[in-house]
Amino acid sequence: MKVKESWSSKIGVILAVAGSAVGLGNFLRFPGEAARNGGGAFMIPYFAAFILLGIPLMWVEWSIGRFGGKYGHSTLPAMYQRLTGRSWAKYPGVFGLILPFVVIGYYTYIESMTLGYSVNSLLGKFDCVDIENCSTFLGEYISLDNFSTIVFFLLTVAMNYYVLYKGVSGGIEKLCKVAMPALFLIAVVIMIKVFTLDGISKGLGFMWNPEFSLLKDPSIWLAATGQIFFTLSLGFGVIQTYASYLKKDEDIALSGLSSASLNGFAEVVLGASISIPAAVVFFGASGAMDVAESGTFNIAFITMPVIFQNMGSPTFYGFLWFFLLFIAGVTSSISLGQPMIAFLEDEFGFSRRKAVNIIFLGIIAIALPAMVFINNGFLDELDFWCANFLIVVSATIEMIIFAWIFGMKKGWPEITRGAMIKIPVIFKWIITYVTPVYLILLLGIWLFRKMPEYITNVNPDNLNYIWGARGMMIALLLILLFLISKSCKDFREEEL
Amino acid sequence: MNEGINLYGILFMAISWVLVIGTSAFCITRILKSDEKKKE
Repeated sequence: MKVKESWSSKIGVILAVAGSAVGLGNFLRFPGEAARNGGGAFMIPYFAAFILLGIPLMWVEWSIGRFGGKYGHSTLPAMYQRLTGRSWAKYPGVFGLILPFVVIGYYTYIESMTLGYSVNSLLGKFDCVDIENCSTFLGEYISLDNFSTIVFFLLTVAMNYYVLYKGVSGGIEKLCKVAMPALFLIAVVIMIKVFTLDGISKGLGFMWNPEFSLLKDPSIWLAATGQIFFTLSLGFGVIQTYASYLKKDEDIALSGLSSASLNGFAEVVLGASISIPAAVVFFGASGAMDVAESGTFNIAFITMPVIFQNMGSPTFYGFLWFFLLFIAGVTSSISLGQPMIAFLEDEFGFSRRKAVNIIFLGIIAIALPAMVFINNGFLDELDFWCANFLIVVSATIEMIIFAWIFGMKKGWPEITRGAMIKIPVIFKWIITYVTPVYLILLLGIWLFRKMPEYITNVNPDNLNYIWGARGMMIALLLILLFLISKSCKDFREEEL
Repeated sequence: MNEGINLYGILFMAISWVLVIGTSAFCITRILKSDEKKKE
């Protein structure tokens, strides 16, 4: 067996996992959700979900990853097979490959937009004074007649390629050790600027004044559960891949808590203090509510540039804002690329160069239709299935395999081995009963509420493109299932 | 709704900030110490 890669320091792996979790959602999705769902009162279900769902699932994912790494596996199919000792279990592990692979395909495009916008801001070419103006700029940017769009995309792909090619400690860890502190520093600079605006008290009041009466509404609790789930990068198979590069007795308890709390810091302290409070200052409370409901894409590329224009020093703050999003994006996208590369390396014996080359051809093949048909719902369709619905499915399967099939008799010692903090025993019961129920509930809501809502709202003009996106995902799923069937069949022979 | 932050708002903001900053600081300090020990 070839020597497995490993992290060179503990802080490196924590920053890498935190980098994977901290993304656009921390700065754009969270403040909108909190403002819409009771302000400060939202934090009660938010922290409840953090303790009952986020932290336990985080520990389970780290634990599965370290367990798989012990046998030289870095991806879910082989990890599930090892955990259960059953051959069928490798197939649900396909989610740990297809989800990050599809998401990185279109994510690099959005990431390249943040890079393009930051460079345009710095060069003063980003002339954006009002909403209409910014919408026109965005329309021109995403039209493929714009040569610079392609250049920034290729540049972003090349950066991702370089970091992933350099490997776990030589590429991912090195980047995250520099990028994550830079991300926090930039966010603090923008936050200080927002806090010095006239009328910021109204912005913070909009964000934090609690409306306790809303706590009776179950949808607030579900919104908080969804936010915790999506913000921590759970269900993608990324954390397991990163954790597989740990040594078999290395701590995961403190590491899991650290990465989750750093993500919480980026969200609760930094994310909640920038976009929505600033929007209240310039557009008033009702305008800010419109902003919160306009979606993360619009907040990032249309609303925030207008706010910076009104705030003063738009060149400087516009650059900082988009560069902040770029850093958040790049640390997430490299984590999404690693599982497929590791799959080819571990299960098929590919060299790193060969694996990275193949995966990047795939990434470009997914990104191209997402770019060309961005106005036809192609990208939204991939995003709905892979970054929303199927990650809940994946996490539910994972929880059942770990807590109920592998069993907590073996699972609890696996989580606590080498722990640098004492995990309260109550978490054993939370992981066995509460977290799976939480996940099944979340999955039910997605199946019976969100999915019908999404499917009925599809624009009939886009049907061909939407089916194109679905066809691509199904084809990819079949290819990966075939590869999995060829890859993990010899465990028993190997053990004999 | 369009009013300044009130006492409860400040309280919720302060508690949330203390929770996430406190936990992050505690964890990172211990992790850095452990890395230092390893180097030695």
